[in-house]
Amino acid sequence: MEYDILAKVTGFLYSPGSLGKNLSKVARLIVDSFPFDQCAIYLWDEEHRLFRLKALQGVQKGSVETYREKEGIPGLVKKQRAVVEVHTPSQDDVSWEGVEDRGLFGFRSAVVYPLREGHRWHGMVYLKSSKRLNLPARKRRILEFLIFQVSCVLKYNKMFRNLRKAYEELKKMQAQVLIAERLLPLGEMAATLAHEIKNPLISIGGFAGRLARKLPHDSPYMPYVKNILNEVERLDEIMKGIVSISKREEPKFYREDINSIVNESLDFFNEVCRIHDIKMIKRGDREPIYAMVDRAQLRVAFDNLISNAIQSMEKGGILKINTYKKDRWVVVEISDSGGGIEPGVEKNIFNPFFTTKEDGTGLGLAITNTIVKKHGGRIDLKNEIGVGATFSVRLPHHKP
Amino acid sequence: MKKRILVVDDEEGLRFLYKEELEDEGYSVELAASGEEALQKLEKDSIDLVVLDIKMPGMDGVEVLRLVKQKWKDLPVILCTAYPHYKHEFGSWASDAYIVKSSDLTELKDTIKDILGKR
Repeated sequence: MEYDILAKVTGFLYSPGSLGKNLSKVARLIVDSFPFDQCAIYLWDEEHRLFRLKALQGVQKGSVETYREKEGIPGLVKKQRAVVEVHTPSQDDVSWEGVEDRGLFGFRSAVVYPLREGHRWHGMVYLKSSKRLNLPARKRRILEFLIFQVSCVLKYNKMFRNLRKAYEELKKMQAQVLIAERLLPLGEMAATLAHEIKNPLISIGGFAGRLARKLPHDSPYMPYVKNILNEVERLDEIMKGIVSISKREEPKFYREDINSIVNESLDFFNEVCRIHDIKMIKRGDREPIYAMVDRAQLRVAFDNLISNAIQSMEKGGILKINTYKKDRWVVVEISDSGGGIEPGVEKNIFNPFFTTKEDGTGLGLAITNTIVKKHGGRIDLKNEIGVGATFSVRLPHHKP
Repeated sequence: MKKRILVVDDEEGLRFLYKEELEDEGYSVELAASGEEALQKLEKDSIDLVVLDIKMPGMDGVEVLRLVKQKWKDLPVILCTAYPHYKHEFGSWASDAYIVKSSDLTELKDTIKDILGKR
């Protein structure tokens, strides 16, 4: 009989299936094999610091969903870090030795076992009996062993979850490292290259400029020269982009009002919006929202996002800007009504040299992303196909 | 009497471009391909202003600037560089102006005019 119980509980606990289901079976086994009318198994919620009911078997009366850290008999168990056994004079009593617990209503005796391992809490097992409990020592030892088994399983369960979480994080980090690895040599090599290319480029552009000024305006060769000048300008833009992506330009952080940077950027695009029939709507906090940022770099980031938004709405639309604080973040949302980003394109948008525009360099969003990351922030994209795209820039909030 | 400008740059193409452009502006232009050559020219000729590239093999522009300012402390020097990294560097503060190179030499010309006009 006793071996039976132990064999069964091991079978239940280590069987595949959800933890809740397995714990329910264990609770059933306890109610069936011991003189208890109710068995409730609670799990410790570290984040909210409370015990949550995970499995309940036996009678339903007096069952409590959650216990706060210092609440009721479970609170006492948490404090004393030991088993607590309770006997009340009648079933109507809901307190014992000054501790109130509505879970006691309808019962004469209760035992609460902690499920813990040192300082680490997994939960507790709350056993209740409507009659006064008198458990023989041998049965008690079996029960304790059973509870120990539950504790072990919860420990393994937690370890497994932690392991899976670590694995997921590792996978995420690996993906980031891959991106960084791709960007870093590109940045370093390109920055050197950009310096080497810049001088000849100035020569070409400079002399082409001289030609343009010396040639008669109606010269048939003028379009050739103009072409050289345009291409030089384009190359120059690309070079500037590469240099700003590279590691060399480390941001210099000062406490700045993010709203004022956003407004500066919006002012800059005001005229363009008017020309393209784009309505600009600025919402959110009007008060200064502070973050430690490199003002010039962040301005580039906002300019890029706003410019992209505008470019997606060539036939007019609505540009929405929202700035607000959320938890420890300053959030700047830039939304367009340009129909969203095509599926398949989305995952590439932050890659350098990726572009869907005919005359794009493919560096705008790559630079923007690098800048925001250097600020300890991140950019999220909410893409609604057929509607528009929303880029959310998050920066760590700086409390005054 | 034409003002004399010394252009110091290791890039031949740029020296040529600066010479053409600045001569069009009415200056007389001397050229040096390195810091060492620049210092020799300064010893020999009387120069009114130096246009100095920062990134050069051998003695770099910031070093040349230091030597020039030690010896001819009133001689104006305009530092030029491809990208604005050096702006924060201590040595470059001592220059009279700091310019990011561009194929459009308007800023350089304006700066030269500005500095020489004050003298």
